[in-house]
Amino acid sequence: MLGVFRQRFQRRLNGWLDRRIPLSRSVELGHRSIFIVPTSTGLVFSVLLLLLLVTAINYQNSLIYGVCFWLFSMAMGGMYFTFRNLKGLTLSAREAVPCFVGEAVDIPVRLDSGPRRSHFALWMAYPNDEDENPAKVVSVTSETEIEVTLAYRTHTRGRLRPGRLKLETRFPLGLYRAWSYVDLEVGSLIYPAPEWTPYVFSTGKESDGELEGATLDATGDQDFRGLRPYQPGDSMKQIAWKQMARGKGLVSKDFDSDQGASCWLDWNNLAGDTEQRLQRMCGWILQAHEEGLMYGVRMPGLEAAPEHNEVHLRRCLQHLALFGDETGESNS
Amino acid sequence: MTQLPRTALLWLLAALVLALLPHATHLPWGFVLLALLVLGWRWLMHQGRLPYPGKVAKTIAVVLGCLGIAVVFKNQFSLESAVAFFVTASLLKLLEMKARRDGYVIVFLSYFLLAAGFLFEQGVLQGLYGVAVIWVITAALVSLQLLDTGKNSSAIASRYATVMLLAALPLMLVFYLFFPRLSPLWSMTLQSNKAYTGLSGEMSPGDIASLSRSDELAFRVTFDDGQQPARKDLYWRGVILDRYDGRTWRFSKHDRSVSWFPSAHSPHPNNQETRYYEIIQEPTAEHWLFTMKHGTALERGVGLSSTGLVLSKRPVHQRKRYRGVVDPYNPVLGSLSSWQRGHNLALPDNVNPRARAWAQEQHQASTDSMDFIHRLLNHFNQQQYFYTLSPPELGSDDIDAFLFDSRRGFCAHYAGALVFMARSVGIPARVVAGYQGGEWHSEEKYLTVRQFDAHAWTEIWIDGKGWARVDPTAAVAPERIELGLEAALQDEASFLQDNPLSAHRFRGIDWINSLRLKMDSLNYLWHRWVLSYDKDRQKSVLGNWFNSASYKDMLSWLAGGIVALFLAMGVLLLIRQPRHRASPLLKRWHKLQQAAAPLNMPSSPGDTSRVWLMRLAERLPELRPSLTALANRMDESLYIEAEQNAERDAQLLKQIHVLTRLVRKQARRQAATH
Repeated sequence: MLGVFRQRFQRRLNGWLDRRIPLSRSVELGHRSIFIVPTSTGLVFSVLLLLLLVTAINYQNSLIYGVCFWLFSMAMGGMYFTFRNLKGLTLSAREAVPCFVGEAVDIPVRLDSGPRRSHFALWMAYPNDEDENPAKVVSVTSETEIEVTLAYRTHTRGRLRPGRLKLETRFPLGLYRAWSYVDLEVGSLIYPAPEWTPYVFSTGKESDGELEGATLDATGDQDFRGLRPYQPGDSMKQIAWKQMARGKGLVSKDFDSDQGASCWLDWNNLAGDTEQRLQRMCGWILQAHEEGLMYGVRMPGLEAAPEHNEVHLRRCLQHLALFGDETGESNS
Repeated sequence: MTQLPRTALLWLLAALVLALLPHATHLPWGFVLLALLVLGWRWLMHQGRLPYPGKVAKTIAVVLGCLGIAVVFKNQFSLESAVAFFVTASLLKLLEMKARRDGYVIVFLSYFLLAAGFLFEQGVLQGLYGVAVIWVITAALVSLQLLDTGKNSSAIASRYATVMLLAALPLMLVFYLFFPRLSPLWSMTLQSNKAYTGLSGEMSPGDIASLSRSDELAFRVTFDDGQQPARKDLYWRGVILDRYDGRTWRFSKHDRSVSWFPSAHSPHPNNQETRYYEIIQEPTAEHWLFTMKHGTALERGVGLSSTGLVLSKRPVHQRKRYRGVVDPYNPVLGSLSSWQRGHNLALPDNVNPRARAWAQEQHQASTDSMDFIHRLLNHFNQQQYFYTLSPPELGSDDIDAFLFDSRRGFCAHYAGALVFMARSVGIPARVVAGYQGGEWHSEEKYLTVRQFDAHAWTEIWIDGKGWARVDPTAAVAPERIELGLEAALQDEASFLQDNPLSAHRFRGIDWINSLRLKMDSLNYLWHRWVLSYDKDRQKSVLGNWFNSASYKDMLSWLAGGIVALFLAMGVLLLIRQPRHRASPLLKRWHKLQQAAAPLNMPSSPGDTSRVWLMRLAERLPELRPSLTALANRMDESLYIEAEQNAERDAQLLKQIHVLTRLVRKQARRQAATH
């Protein structure tokens, strides 16, 4: 019963937050987006003030009255300083490097101090279990911009929606806690977690499990052919580490291989439910890319002709990430 | 658990040490030792040379600390022992301080210890010291937040402490003035067991002489009319000593028929000679207050005893401000009750037989009581009697020995002898202890009375006239009354004997004296306006300024203060700080972007100028060469050229300006065709 109530409350709260601080690429913190309450330390401080007041009254001591009122006034003014420590700060999200489900994505967030104000001891984290998304404490001095990289552990594929970033400060007195939940549009993709399964190739027409025609370099026998200078894109396995260790520079081993052979990766050759298929397809694509095959992908919503390059890889992975996401299609 | 920032530790140590320092004067030396030990230990821990104390060590420390307090203070629960408890607690906390939470505890304890220090000392210097320490403690509080700022932490912490404390001053003043001063909520049993220098409820020969060695302040007086009273009128009655046991005169505590204000006798309102004054009295831990002539109770908590003593309901443990009146009418006129008469005639048997016999002789020769007293005074005046601070030791029957053998004595000797002789012949008499004289400050128009002004004189009952003041010292050493103790003791070096450095000894040196007087005036103003701002003073000040001093008005002032603060904070937050002025280059660049607006080409935050210009070039192919040139030029200017070059900057600006016009034209044309 209580759980239901809490859920409903949470929903209403989220709706209210969405209206108040809508999703955006960049947010300047202001009255609508900053909340402030006293901390437990603040409550202890008020007990101290009360103690001082009683001492002052009972001992009729003007100086203790003075101390008490001074600290009280300072605590009241502290509210302004804590609030101001967030106000005027502009947060904007930058494109994060896509990653696979289960990995922690590094979300770069830019903090712009705004004019003539420094912001100290800002505590930032994506809300989750604390161990998962570690918090960062940063300060931005006036008229500067810094970039903070926040780790966020991903759980679902698709567009990266880390939820509301919590930005909190207790500066300067620690008696108040001012915070904001900022919904930043991070604009990045989470690919399905790859599952490594053996290929089932299919040709363009029917699936016979054979690789189709190799390029000139590929003669079929996967023997060592010689060394050649390293080229960007060569895999780890290809690099001749021994040569490098001898100081001969970065060279790659050239194999006779399937490199350049073209194949089709077909959705229909995959078993399992949609998500499993997506994961396995992801595994295939990565594997094919790694091995240097010319691979085509055929699956609902995508028929990509065999190719081997980064753009192709990204395109295919993006399709996997956004598979079934109606809003995502228009963007690809 | 949030770690304690490293810079915070230094601030915390400084804050605690400074808050503890004033307590060193009234705590046993063992605590100073403990503090040094703990601070040293903590410092080594900070440097990593000693480990943090384990659970066992902490427990032992707590137990030892409590035992130590119990032993040192012999289980007495006094203000000192309470402070000692807090001091020990804060030191032990310092030792185990590791997390930020512990830092807060230290900060709050420091604030409290600083305030507790004001229970003992409240001078101007202590006040200024307090301001400095509050600043340090506040900086320590701020530095607790600064986890990531490294070297700059101290600068930031001190800056914020300064700004916040200054910003708090207006509201603090409002609260200080308007917060209703309440009477103590409960009687504080927790009082300092410090012995005050001052009059006590008993007087053996020599007691008052010892006071004359002290230049401590007894009280300050201001008269409502600002007139300096004649010196010979400045008899400040303190306590009546009317019980004699053959050696010591005592204050009889069983006289408890006190009429408290407002039921006490009230002064005649329209008498020309009625003078009001205000006394700020230093703590004495006694009930009696000081009055000129016969006083009366003028405010709550003050009463008039049947013997004519003005008393405070509570012992004066804190500095007390009260009003008094010089009333020409003697309130205890009329007749003496038989009990009172008996009490003021009582003498122990068989002491001082020679004095008795001689007094009897004199009494028989005199016409009435007044004549008898005059005979005695004449005797003191004309025979070889000496006024001295260092009279010889007297054995038993000390009045006999003083009157007929040594003939040297201080005021207490003369007063005691006179009362003894009056009583022995049936005239009710009593010793009055108080102060005589004082130093008049003509600029601020107030009088300071110090311990060396302590004096004893007598009051003799004259039937039909009441108690009359008789000062035998005036007969022996008139200069004591006219000029003060120092003048009376010119020939002997006993004035302020134990105080070789007292500024009062150097009254002859002009600049020292004027400095002393300045300092005293400052202290006086401090006492009058800050320290003695209590319930009555608040009422009169607020009444004068705002014509009203009801609780309701005070509370509305307080509420007004808080509302004003919130308004000020709101306004400050609402005013948008102007964006920093864009550089000329940036302005031109924005113009260029605006010119391209019809092409619907938003720039996203990550774009460099090159990326945007190249996108623009795709839309406006005919401008490609110029746009590419500009992109190259911008890159050079932004990323390569380190030093300023006005000529080159001007060129670049011109380049953008020309291009802006072209782009605008082209963009409009394109927008029109689509």
